[in-house]
Amino acid sequence: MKNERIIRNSKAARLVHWIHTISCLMLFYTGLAIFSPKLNGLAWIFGGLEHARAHHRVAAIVFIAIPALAIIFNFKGFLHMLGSIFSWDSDDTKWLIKAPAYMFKSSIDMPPQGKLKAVQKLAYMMVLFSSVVMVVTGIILWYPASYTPNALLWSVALHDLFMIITGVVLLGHMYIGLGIFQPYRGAWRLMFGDGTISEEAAEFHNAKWFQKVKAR
Amino acid sequence: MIRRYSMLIDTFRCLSCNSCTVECKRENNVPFGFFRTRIDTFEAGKYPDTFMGFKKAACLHCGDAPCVVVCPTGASYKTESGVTLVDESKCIKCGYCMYACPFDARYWHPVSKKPDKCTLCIHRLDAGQKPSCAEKCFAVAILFGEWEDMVIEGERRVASIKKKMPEANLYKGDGLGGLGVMFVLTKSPVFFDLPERPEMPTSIVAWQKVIRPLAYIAGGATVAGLIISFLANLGKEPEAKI
Repeated sequence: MKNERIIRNSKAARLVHWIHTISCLMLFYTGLAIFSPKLNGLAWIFGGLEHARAHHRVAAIVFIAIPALAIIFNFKGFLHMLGSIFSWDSDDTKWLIKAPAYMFKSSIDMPPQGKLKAVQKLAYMMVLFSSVVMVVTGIILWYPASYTPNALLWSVALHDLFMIITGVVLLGHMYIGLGIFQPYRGAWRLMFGDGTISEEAAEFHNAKWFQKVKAR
Repeated sequence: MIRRYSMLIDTFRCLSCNSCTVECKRENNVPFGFFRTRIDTFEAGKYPDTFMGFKKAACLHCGDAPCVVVCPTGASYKTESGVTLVDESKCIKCGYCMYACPFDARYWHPVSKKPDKCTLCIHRLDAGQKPSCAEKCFAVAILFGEWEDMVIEGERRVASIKKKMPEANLYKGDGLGGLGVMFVLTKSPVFFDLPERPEMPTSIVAWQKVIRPLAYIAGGATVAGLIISFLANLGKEPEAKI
C-alpha cells in the first residue's frame, strides 16, 4: 500500500505550470539583460538587446494569457487555489517558526500540513501580488503615451523592485520544488513529471491533505 | 584646453531671432518639424504693462544627468569634457531618458526612431570651433567657454541687469551637478518653465540608489543561504521517498 502513488497535480495544472515556467524564466533572463548596463551581455543569446526586448514582450503576453485562460476555463479551480493559498491555521504558524531551522537541519519534527505548506502559501501570496504589480507596470511601460514622465519612472522602479521580490521567491521555489534541497529529492516530478507523489511522502509532507484524499 | 565645455545663455539679450534654431538645423541636419534647439516664448503682465521672455531650449548637459543615470545600456553617456551624448548603436529605444529629462530636451528622431538631442556641436568643438548656435548669435546672448568662466560671466551679467530686472538670477542647477548650459534669467525659473531647483527625481534616486543595489544584495544573500542549506543537507536521505 505504501508504494502506491496518488495524483497531486492534474495534467492541466502541469501544462499551465510548464508554460508559465518557460515564460517566467524568459522574462527574467531578458529582463536582467536590460536591468543594468553591466548585464547587457546576457542579450547575445537573443542576438542583441533589441531582440531580447522583443522576446520580453512575447513572453509577457504568454505570462498574462496562460493564467488568464486557466482562470476563465477553470474558474472553480482558480477559487479553490486561492482558497488553499489564503487559508491559515495554528499548525501553519508553528511550521513557519520551525522552517528556518528545517532548511539547515532537516531532521526536525514538523507540524502536519495541508496540500500547501505554510511557506508555500506565503510565497504564492507574494508571487500573486508581485505578478499583478509587474503586469500593471509592464503594461504602463509598454503604452507610455498617456502617462506622465514621473509615473513612468516610478513604474520602472516598481517593476524592478517586484522583479527582485519575485526573483528571491523563485530561487527558493526552484531550490525546494526541484528537490535540490536533498530531503525533497525527486520533488520535481510533482510538476515536471507525471504529477504523482508516493502515499508515504504525501502522508509525511502533507498529512492533512493526505487524510482528505484518503477519506474521499 | 577646456576642462568642461559650457554655455551661458542670456535671456536679457535674446531677441528671439531664431538664428540659433536655423543654424543648428543646418549644421546638424535636424529633420523637418524637429529641433535640437528652439526658442520658447513666455508672457506676463497685463496690458499695457506686459513682458515677454525668450528662452533657448535645448539639452543643458547636466553635470549629473538623469538621462545618463537611467539609461539601461549606456547609450546616453557623458564625455570627459562634460558633454551629454547618445550612442545610437547602443540605444534600444526604451524611452527612459525621455521620461527622465527635466528640460524636455530630447525628441524621437523620425528616421532612426531613437532619441536625439543637442550634442553641443561636439564635432565642431573637436576642431577647435564654437557650437554653431553660439557662433551665429547676433545678440551675443550665447557665450561658450570654460564652466567656471561662464559662472563668473553669468554672475556679472545678472548683477548688471539687477536694477532693471530685480528678479534676475543665474540658473546653474547645483542639484544636478551644475548645468553645462546655464541661463541668465530675467525672471524666476518658473516663469521660464524651468524647475525652481532642478534635481534628480525621487523616483530615479529610489530606483538607482536603493532598488538596483538591493537586487544584488537580496539575490546574493538568497543564493548564499540556499548553498549553505544545500551543503548542510548533503548526503541526507529523504525521510519519505517522493
